[in-house]
Amino acid sequence: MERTNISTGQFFTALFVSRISAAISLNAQYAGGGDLLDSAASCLLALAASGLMALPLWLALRLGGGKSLPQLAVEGGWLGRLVPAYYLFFLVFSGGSALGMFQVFLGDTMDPDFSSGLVSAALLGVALYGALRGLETVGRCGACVFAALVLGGGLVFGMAAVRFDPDNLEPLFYHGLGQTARSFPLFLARTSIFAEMAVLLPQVKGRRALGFGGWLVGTGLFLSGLLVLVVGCLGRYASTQNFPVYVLASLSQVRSLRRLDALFTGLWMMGLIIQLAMGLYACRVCFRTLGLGKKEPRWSLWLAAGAMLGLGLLTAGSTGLQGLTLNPNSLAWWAAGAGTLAPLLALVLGLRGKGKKPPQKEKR
Amino acid sequence: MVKLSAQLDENKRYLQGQFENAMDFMMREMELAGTEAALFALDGLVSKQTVTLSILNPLMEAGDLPGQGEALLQAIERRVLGSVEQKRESRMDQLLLLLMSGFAVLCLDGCGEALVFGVQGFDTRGPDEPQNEVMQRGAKDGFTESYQNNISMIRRRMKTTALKFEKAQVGGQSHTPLALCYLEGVASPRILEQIRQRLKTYDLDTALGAGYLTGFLERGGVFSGVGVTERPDVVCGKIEEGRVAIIMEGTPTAILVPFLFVENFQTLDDYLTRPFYGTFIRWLKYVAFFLSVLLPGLYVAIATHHPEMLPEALLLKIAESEAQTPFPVMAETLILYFLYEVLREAGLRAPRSLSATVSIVGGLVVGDTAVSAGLVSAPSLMVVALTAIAGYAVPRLYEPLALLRLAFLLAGNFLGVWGVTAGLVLLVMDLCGTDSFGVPLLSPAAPFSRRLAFRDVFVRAGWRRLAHGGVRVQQMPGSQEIGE
Repeated sequence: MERTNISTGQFFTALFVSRISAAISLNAQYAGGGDLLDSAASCLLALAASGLMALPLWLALRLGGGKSLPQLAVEGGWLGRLVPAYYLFFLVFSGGSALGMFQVFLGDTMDPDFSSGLVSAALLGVALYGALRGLETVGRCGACVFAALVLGGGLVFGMAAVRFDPDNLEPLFYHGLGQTARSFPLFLARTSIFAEMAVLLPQVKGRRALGFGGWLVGTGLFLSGLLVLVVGCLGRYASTQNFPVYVLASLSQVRSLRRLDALFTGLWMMGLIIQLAMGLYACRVCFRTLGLGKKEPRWSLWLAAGAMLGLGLLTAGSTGLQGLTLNPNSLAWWAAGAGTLAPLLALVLGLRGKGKKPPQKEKR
Repeated sequence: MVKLSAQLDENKRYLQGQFENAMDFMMREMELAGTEAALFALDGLVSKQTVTLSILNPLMEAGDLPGQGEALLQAIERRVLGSVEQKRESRMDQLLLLLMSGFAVLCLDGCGEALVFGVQGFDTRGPDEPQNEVMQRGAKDGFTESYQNNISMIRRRMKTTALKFEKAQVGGQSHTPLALCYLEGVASPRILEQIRQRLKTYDLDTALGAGYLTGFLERGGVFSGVGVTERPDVVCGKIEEGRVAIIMEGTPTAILVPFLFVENFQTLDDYLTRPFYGTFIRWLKYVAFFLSVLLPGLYVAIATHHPEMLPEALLLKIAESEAQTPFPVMAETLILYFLYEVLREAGLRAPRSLSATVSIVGGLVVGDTAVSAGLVSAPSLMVVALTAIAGYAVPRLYEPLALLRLAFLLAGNFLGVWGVTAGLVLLVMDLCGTDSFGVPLLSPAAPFSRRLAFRDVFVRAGWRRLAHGGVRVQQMPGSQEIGE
């Protein structure tokens, strides 16, 4: 049976897992420079900025009462349809981008003896199944994946920590603030939380602001801790690698237990599936808000999944497209649009819609 | 609906017509105080001795009986016959059903009602130790095919008036009786109503086993939200937690609903040993489950696509074995797995006198000869054997495990560890999305409740702790009655 409500804990745990899957796919090329440790500061700054960026979103949600931002915007007139359309586009784009990044990783680093597109299709298939089963299913599965991440991540990074050398940690901002500035958009961009909150938060029960706060603090601590660990273990070697977290995992070894890169990839995949499933479910809600289908149309999930897969395959196959879909600078603008601009538009349209409504008669 | 006629001849003709060509139909005609009467029963279902001693003899020896028709029936009912299970019935369909359930029916001329007597006398098996739920320390009696006996076994263990056995019936032709067993005030009325509604959807003509019914009670998913047990003590434990047991005539298995995933790992022995050992055994079963599901898939995935993950010594041993066999790892494992399943099925279905032979021949041929002939490698054989043994640690899950292994084997072969990972998430997703009568199948692990999970899921707490603060199954986190 499909259920459409989810608890705050489950919702933000699923989003945390999604963010972590993006974090462990950290690409040194996009982090922009050799001072990876400085990126820890940009990560904290980016998350603080995310908190501020989300203020219009919270304000609009408060105004909307029990309505999602796309619903609120649509009530304000035809222009309001831009908001669900934008979120739909953004969710497909960020899902396709994450899938593309994973496929680039598979192709470049793992080089499997079968098509990496098959793996992407399998991932998306699982995510689609989850989205079809409903938001609550995805939320519960997210909590299970979180447990796997804690255990698996603890094992991988715990074993890697044996290599930790404090001498590898150069003083912060030793070469200026350039690296921090370059990394800032990367940490701001690699999340679809704004879109998912805007679309799904009305279906979340409980103390939502506390959940968001916990998400910000949790991801901030995890990401900055991960960067410190990567730099402490790999030194400057980290910044020469495309996927330094993967390299760290593949170097972990305790006696005969070694090459934990497969476990690392497994964890990444699990997080990615949750991210895609959440995105797909949110797409479905956007389709409904756009008036394409009476209830939340199931076909829309297939359509969105197909679009994500297509974008992921194209991204992996074209370096030109990678400049658009994986580039943190462009992604950061899209994220800012989802976190600030779209909510502002929804807020304005929502206020206009409220003004249009005839005053309610007093109940006797 | 046909009513019993006041004319005995009509009733006789009707019943004889219904039981035409049924050699077990018995009719004993007699005269009581000048009124024609007839006693009907089915041979083999009633105890002839009881019929003679409790019905025929008292009737024949009765002195003056007053009047005719209704007055006569009332006199027989009140003064002459004193069967424990005795009632009046006027509907023909009910009379037919009672006859076929081992009742004797007495009809009088001039009376539109019949007297029915419970004089069942068919043989039933005694309560043996359950074959599929062997316990080290638990009771040794198991359910039998008689649901009345089964009900009495539960009643003997639960001496409370809150224990209810609600009667129902399924099967268009078999009219199989069953009882919904629950504790009033403990079981959820919502779940009870759902069960009643789903039983109404049963549209088969017969119900020859619990499996017939479970198909109508569960709702999709790889793992079932309906449990079965052969043990009355297990039923007592479960209904105490708010579950409902369905006890059906003709099967030594009771159905339990709602049934959570974690219950597949719980046995009565866990609670009869000390908590630390119970916890240890529980974890062994969890590990065995994952081993049983994932080992063949991971083995094929790693040996085929990611050999670098193995330690050198192990890798060399596997490579050495594989070099001597003609088949790729996948085909080898698949063949061995099918052979194992064939052997298991043959051992299960063969006459008992032959099953030992089947096992020995199969074990020798597959286990020894095939390896020495170089047809299969020893590591593959070991993986399949380990998988099979691990599966038996959680026997309740054998059916889904058998197919899941195959699915993971294929996923591992075609997509490596990534395929296995995707399959695992799919499995978890399916588990998370399945409810059993409104209670999440994975509860209390997902949605997570620390208090409950560390009480009887990840650890088996001591009895002092288990005695306090327990929740009923309908109060699990995420269930329809309480939400997340």
